[in-house]
Amino acid sequence: MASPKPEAGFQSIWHLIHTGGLTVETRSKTAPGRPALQTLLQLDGDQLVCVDLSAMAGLTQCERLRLAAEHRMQLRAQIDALKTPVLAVITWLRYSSWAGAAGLDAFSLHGTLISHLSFHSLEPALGSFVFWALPFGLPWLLHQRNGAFHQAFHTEQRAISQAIYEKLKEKSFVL
Amino acid sequence: MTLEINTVTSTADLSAQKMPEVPLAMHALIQAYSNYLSDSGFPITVGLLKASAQWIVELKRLETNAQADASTTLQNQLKSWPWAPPRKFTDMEVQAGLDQIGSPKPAWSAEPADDPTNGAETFAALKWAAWAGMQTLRAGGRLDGGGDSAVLSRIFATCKQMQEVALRLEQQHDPSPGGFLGFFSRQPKLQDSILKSGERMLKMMPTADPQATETDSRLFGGTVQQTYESLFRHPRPVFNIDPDLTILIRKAWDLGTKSVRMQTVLQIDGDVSQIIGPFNADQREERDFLVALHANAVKQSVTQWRNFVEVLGALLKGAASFVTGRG
Repeated sequence: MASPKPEAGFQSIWHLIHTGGLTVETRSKTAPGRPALQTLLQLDGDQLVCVDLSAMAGLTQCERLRLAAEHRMQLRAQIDALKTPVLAVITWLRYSSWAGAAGLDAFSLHGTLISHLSFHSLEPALGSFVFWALPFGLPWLLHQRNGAFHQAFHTEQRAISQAIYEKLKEKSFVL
Repeated sequence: MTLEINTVTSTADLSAQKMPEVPLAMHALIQAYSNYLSDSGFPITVGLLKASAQWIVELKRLETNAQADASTTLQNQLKSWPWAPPRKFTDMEVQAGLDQIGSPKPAWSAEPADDPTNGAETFAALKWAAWAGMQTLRAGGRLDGGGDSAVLSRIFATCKQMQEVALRLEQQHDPSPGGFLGFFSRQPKLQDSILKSGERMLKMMPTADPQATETDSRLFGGTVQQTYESLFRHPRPVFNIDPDLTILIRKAWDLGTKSVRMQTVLQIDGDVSQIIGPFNADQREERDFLVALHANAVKQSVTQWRNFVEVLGALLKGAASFVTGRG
């Protein structure tokens, strides 16, 4: 088995930053069948705004600007909705990076284990178990080395869980 | 480190889709470029694909054997490809010794390439088609479908890079050894194809047996169907693609053949450059609308960037506290 590459964790963060993002589209009342405005916003801030002027034919300038304002509000709502899960992912990455500093590169270890377990069809269920158990098992393992780290992880996890709960409550997903 | 905000207009339907898996994104990009070039009068043909495959093989031979310079002859043939009008040659092209101009060509098939692969030869073929379009515009010609020189230049520049990217990805995902060694290899079996990139390219050359086409599934260097078969098999493949390559493909996929009307680039040191495309006198309302939209996008991106830098700062701070034990 090839040894895990130490830079793999950071590469994964870099990859996520440059490829993760959100897409928002807005349709005009004159052409509801296709989007008139579309924005692709990357996590690193790069943005692509696509405009289909033909889908806005028949709108006055004032109506166009109102459509643009509506589009901006949709984008803002999406960003707000993304904050909580992004925070959770960043926390995960943060602890994975720390685990890397402690000699265990979670991403590489993950990738290696998953590919060997599932691709050789030894036991896909075992692969899934490792996939989920590893990020949550690592803090426990590290607890053996550092009690404060364990404590910090759980405090932050509790805060995130609470934030997710509040967000879901706001969106009426939780009664 | 830069922040780039583009405002583009498109006449084609916008599809609010995220970029698919890299091999499929490459196919989508090929399709978009191919359609644009075909509308401009430069369709991709089977002959052009075969000549491009041969050119790449010769180029790679040249890297190992300085004597074999068949690639220059092929490159001249590709530069002076016998497109139907509107192809026009510039004076420079004629003077540059493209001695193939006007002379009979080998019997390359003019049959349209309906099902190209996502391999290097397709990007090379698209590059030479875009080149023909650019040169025709320089020679004062007009293109069907209103081919735009900025889009043609983008296709040319992107395909130049994508040709190398496709080759690298195909080599990186070449079939792994089977048997005992295969078990310990990090590369799981992702495809049925047993052909390595060079072997596949040789099969495409005009001198190869016309029947010897590959039908097995493959992620890179395969047709859409072959890529789908490889991608949606069980267990699903896990790629290991360098982030810089993914970014390159993502940027190309995002822009496609859309016209960039406004662009703002902010450098981390504060330098800002803004490019605004031309507007006619009767496009005042359109310009005002796009300026308002672009200004808001810049504002939004700067906010996003600030948040991103704050998160990075928090990460570094956290890592530093962990390492120094002062957390």
